[in-house]
Amino acid sequence: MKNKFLAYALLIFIGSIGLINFSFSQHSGGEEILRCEIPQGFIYKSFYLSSSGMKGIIFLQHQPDRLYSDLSIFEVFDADNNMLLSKVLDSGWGFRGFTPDNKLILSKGQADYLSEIKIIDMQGKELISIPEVGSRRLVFDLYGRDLAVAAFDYDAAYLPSVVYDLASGKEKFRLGPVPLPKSNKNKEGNFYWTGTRIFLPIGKDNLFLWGIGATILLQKYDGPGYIWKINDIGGNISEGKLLNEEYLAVSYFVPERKYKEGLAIIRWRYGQIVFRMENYIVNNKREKNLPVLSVDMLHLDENNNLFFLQDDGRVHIFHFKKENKTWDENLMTTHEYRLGKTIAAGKGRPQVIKGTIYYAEEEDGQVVIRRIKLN
Amino acid sequence: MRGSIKLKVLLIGFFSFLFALLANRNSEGAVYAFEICTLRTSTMECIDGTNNFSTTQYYWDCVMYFGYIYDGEGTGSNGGGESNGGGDADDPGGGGEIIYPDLDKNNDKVLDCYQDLMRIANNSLVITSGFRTTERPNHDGIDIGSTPDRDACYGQIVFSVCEGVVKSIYFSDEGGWTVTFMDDNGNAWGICHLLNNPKSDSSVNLYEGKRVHPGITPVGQCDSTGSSCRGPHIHLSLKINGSYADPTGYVSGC
Repeated sequence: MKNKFLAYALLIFIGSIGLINFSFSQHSGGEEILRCEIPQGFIYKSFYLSSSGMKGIIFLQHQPDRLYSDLSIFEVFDADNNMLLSKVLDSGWGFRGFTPDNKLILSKGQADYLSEIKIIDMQGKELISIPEVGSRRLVFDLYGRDLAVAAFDYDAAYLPSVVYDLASGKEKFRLGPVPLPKSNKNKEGNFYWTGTRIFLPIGKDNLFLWGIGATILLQKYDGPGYIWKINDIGGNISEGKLLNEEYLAVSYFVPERKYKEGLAIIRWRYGQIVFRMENYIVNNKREKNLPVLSVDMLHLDENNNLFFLQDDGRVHIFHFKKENKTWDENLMTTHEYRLGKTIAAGKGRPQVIKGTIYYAEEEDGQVVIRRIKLN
Repeated sequence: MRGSIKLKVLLIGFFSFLFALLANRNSEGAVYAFEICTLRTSTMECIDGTNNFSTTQYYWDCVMYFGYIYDGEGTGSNGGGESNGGGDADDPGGGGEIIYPDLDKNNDKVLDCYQDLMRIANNSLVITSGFRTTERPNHDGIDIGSTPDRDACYGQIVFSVCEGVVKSIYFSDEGGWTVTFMDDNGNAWGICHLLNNPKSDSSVNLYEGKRVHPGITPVGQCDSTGSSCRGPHIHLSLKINGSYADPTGYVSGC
């Protein structure tokens, strides 16, 4: 009897902790910001947004028996929804969004291989063309000054990461290839070296961030050594992303018996780790009630609140504590938003700009872009 | 007699120490350090009294790095087997031996038949676009979809193509959700156009460093999340020594 009473008391206590630290709310759809017709004979594919509020929408020629259409159209609208551009592209070429300073990115290629990229202005003038990008990824700085064609992971052992000056179109810096250390091979020729996982041009003072193995450095294109180095962030780096002019987010993992995934927020100018969250996966279950600690899903709003946007429309928010300039993993709020079938139909991921989620849906032959402002 | 006991104690002590050392290595993992040097140039202005000229100096800029090395084996509960047929029982927990179907009979660490990449009722898999065809010379992989119902592929579990480890999981505009693998021969595989983030997709529960088995470990769901294609399918690519190769050289239609 006494044991039963204690068990109930314990349950109530645990439940009340959950209520204090975890709040959950559901929300309906967002506010409509653009509605446009799908061109006759085409289907809607995806959308992009620029930092200045422009919207770009991609339509593919409707050819039900083909995986890749012969033609695509992309339309660009300004912040007031005036159409600025409607352009037809040949097969293989596609519109891939906006640069940070609102230029247009076009690419030729499929899946994990790009044979060429071009950046054009709104008048269609070509500003830069880069051939043989391959499976390297495009990384812009925050201001749109530098573009890195960055080789990560396996590619970094065979291809260089190259930085281009977007104003002149000229190559500015190259790093690598970075060969895999030979000592990683075991007797069976079986190895697992993560290699380069972060290559982020800053866009000021010739600075760039480089993450390799478990090490992160701030370096200069033209200077020796490094400005700061974190020898071991806590595990193998998975990905890194500049959240704003102050913070860099890095996700990492240690593939041990108890698989550890982690996230660190770093004041990138100083190499100072200001926040860290870690979780363990055992038997495919995460021990703590935290989102997947992936920087891909991580954003920062104008008040420095951290939020993770999941594909299913759930948003996990960690509010910024101004007094000590950090966050608390125990104070997470979760909101669920209806984002339509944007992901499930392979029709463009929701995008996040300055704490606002944008998503697109098809309705009666039209594409509708909606936004949800996070509180 | 006493000497023999001493020897036994010494031997037991030595082997206990060795065992503790090995056990510690396994539980803590191995941290490696290595040095990478970058060739840099520095330009210097020189004044010799009559002429001004610049000279270039080349130098090696070396930095020490650290990393956790994982050899793809011995991750205990995370590296255990998965049940056959899409279930996800990573750790048998001592509850009995898991018997895998032999989907790599030639033991080349790659799935024998691409038909085992997805199992779709009343449908089979077909290569819908080949490697570097005349029509698509830059198509550096193969597209695989379902037939006769092309849409039947949508949302179906995709299984690993190789015996190896998950290298990376990321989203790109062209490839949508993509998973890359390192097989046990050191070759890199990629699967593109997956539905949802495989890290948060509860039907696959994928993470970097996870051990995968050909045709057995779920790695994602079929879709068309890349920005230039439509209709559910997966794109399968292979890189050997940094260059793309035709996957059908390893995995056939059977």
